[in-house]
Amino acid sequence: MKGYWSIVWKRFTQNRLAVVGLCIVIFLFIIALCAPLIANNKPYILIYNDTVYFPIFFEYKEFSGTDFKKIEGYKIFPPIPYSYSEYDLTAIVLPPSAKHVLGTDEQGRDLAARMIYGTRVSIFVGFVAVFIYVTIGIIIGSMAGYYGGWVDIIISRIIEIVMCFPTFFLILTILALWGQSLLNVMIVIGITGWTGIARIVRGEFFKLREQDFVLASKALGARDYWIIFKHILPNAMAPVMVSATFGIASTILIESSLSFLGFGVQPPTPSWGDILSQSRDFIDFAWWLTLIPGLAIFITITSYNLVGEGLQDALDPKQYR
Amino acid sequence: MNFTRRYILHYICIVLIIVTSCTRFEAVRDPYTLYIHISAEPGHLNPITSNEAIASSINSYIYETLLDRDYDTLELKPQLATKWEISPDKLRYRFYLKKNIYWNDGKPFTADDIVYSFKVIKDPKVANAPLKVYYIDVKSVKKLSPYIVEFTYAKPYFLALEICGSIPIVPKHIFDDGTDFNTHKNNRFPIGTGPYKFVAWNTGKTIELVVNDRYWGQKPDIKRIVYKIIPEPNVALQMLKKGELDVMSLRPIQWVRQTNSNHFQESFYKFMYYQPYYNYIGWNARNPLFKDKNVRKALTMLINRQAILDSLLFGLGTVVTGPFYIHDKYYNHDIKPLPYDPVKAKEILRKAGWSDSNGDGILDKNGIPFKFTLTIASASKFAERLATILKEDFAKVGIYMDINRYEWAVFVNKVDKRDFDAVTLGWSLSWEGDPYQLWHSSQVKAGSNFCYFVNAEADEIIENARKEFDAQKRIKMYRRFHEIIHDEQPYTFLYCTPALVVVSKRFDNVLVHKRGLNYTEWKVTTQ
Repeated sequence: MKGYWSIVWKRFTQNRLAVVGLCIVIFLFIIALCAPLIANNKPYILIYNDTVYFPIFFEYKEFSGTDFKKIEGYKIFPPIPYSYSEYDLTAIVLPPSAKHVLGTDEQGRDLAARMIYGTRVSIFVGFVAVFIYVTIGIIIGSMAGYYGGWVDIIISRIIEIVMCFPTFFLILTILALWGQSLLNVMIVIGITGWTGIARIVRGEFFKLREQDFVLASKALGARDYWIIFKHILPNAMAPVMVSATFGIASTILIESSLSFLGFGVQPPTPSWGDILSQSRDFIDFAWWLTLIPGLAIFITITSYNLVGEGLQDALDPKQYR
Repeated sequence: MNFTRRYILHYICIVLIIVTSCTRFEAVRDPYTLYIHISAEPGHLNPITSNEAIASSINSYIYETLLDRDYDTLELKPQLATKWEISPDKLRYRFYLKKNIYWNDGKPFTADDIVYSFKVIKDPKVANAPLKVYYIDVKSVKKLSPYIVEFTYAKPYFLALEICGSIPIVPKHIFDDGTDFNTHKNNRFPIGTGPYKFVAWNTGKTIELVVNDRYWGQKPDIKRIVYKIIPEPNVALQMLKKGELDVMSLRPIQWVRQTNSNHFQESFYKFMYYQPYYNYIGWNARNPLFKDKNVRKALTMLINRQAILDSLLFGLGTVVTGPFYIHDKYYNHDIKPLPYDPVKAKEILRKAGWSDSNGDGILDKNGIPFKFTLTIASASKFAERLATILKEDFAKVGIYMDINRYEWAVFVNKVDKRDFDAVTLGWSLSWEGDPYQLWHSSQVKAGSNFCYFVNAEADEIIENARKEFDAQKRIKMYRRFHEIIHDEQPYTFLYCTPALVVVSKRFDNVLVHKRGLNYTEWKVTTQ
């Protein structure tokens, strides 16, 4: 007897594109997690005056403010030996080379290092913002779906009102009022994006609340929150997960757009949209500054969408192949 | 999901607009129309209340005043006045006006307009604080006959003739209609006496002027001027190359790397000239971190101004040390810029009591860490690049700097409210300077002295120089003032950068004067 999730997994793996997408997503995750180990201007190991140091992992007071590249001694640097904010005014807007794998930007900062740290921003914003709005959406949607009646009418109207706002301009307005920071971007996307999830959850609850297992637990005297979270919600999660996956893709895109317009992260925090925006000055001769962040955004969004579609097909019970 | 789709549509729209606006043109090309690029839209075009550089450049073709500066010698010469007389005590200035001058709507220009304009400038309800500073000591403006006016000063002021002669004049019969001056409908429909008259304002797109048929002077060859509002400099450059723009100010990178092809040089002139301007980083002395002038000096010495100039601005500009225009007689060339010297700067900071006593990598003094925020305007890419470089350099000596980027209106508001630690900005100066507006201690509360520069000797010099009519003595005083400013370092002075302008070769007689370009003298080449 196979479990539900193993069936879903099997059906998911039959979709080649979705698996490729998932691999890319996992790859990006690893890059984001290990960013300081991949791109850093501190060496992993430094042997200096017969003492062994691990500058990436520990702070040493005797080295504070010193450039490790200028220290004599045995040292092993990460593959990209630059930090994302380290500049070099003698090396501005250089094409990709052995020294700078993806070239440099207008301040002589290493593009590869900035792209890698940019992955962190993208994924972090994507997940946190979607987590916020999925939470809000589930709570509001399940209330509407479970209680129905007046509660449902009021909540549905609120959803419709929120949906009527042109979201992107609402986000711009709120950021102008609150000031720009990564946290505000995540909160704003979170509190404006929940309507889709709420509608899906509401619909699922309508479908499920009359089912026998719900009636049974009601008959046994279970409380509302127990029924909502323990019985109905797990059965309503499949479409929410699909929607959340697509949501991450669109959130990454929104964050890039905001950063592109100068409303996202504060400098010098790297974000793909911000790198792309800076590249506009050099668009006719510095192809790497446009192509690489553009490609990164494109591949990431596509991967999340492929995973989302794969998940959708795998979770849909009507689509037995 | 519909989220995603909406944004994709959004992008396509933007691209479409750019594409269509690039291809649409060609058909309508009137050779007598001049297309000028402006990167931001002025709020309005009232010369009394506006203090935006773009508005004043447009207004200089619409409005006129009593005296004008010669484009080359910078000497004052008659514009709407025919001559002027100064009383021996230098308190009364009498101007004789030209007759038969008409406003664009056909009404005659008389002394009443000047008396009314002065009344408006002094009116406390009118929002023009920076302009009011210069008229503080003017007691009255009297009409002696319809074509004679007299300005009376309470005490002598060396700039009095220039200030009286350059008083912005608006038509009384238009503005004096009982409505609020600050929001008058003609603020966006100016009526002047100048060589061009205003015809249309398409918000966010263009501002259009046509030649004034009633103009008293020589009528210009160019019949129509269209200011095109294009915020994105690269789009503007592409439009320039396609022939949709005739005049544009370039950014340094465009000057150095994107406009050097033979093809470009064949169709455009490139002009580089200096104008009174400098940019700076201001340290808010209200903040305990920046109270000590030695700390401010150390911060200046941590900024590699020459290297930043060479790389970010491609060497287009000069490092400056003080509050005057570098090519001005008042500028003290004996003062050399503080050198870039992090070692010495660290030493100065240590002497001033800043050291890393708790070992967290950040300097501290009496338990306060050296942490502050640099406020920049999001429109300025140079400010952003400068800020990220400073952040790195300061971190190396244990100073933690945050960067906060604000949209222009919010940014200006923060500066006006003195709500910042450090800020980077620029000043466009007038040709004949008076440091009162920026540096006098009376201006710290509401005026332009927002970095809280208070120095008794500086105040005294500023006040005495206002009364000093001997240019040589004034030069001496101002050079001493420059020394004080350099010693105090209320700002880290950065650069005087040149104007980088391209003009289409469709025009002849395009001359670069000391004051810059003058569209009214250009001739259209007939090919």
